[in-house]
Amino acid sequence: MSRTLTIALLSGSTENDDAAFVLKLARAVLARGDAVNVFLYGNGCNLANKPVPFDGRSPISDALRQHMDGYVLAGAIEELAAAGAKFATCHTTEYSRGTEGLAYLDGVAWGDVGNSYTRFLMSTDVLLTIGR
Amino acid sequence: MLFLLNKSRKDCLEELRILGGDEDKAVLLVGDAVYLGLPGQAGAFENLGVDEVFADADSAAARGVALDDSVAAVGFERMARLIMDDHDQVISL
Repeated sequence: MSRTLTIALLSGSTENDDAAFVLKLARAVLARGDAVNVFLYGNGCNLANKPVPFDGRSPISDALRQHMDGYVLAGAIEELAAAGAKFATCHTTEYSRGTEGLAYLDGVAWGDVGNSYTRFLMSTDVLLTIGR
Repeated sequence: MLFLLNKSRKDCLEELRILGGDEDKAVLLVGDAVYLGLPGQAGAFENLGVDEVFADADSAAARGVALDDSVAAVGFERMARLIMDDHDQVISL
């Protein structure tokens, strides 16, 4: 019988490897046929938005870019959402970071604690909070 | 009862002791918490009555560390089973 994992992700993509871990775990859980919800809260909300194209020459070295590309997770989030994972963000934590109103990645929904997160919890078998 | 640790701070061990009590306990170390699974560190789990210690193999490899022999390195498929199937309670610290 399918079960549901909900993860409250409190870290962004580059300050540590929490977000990368969460997405890899989500992929493994989905592959089993279980369901996954990810609530992007606190700095986790920084993962919610479409990347903004950068025109011009970035001074980032190739070696540093290669390292950092492992923490650019927009594509992985959209792939997981397309595979059935549910992503919702917290608009209040977006507001305090000045990002509320930016376009979301495909499959990421505007959300809040009282509604979106609570709905996740109501169908959750296992809850993890991943952050600092 | 499975404890998922993603930080290397030692406070987690005290929280594990308080929350775990006399229950059967296992630990899954991911991210910086794999440092708690190094030789000279991992013995703390035995002292806390932890039956099994697992660690994310990718996290250990990314940090270039070798885990203590008492710690089982696992991949994401095994971690998914640990979290979704093997324990009636999962606590992330």
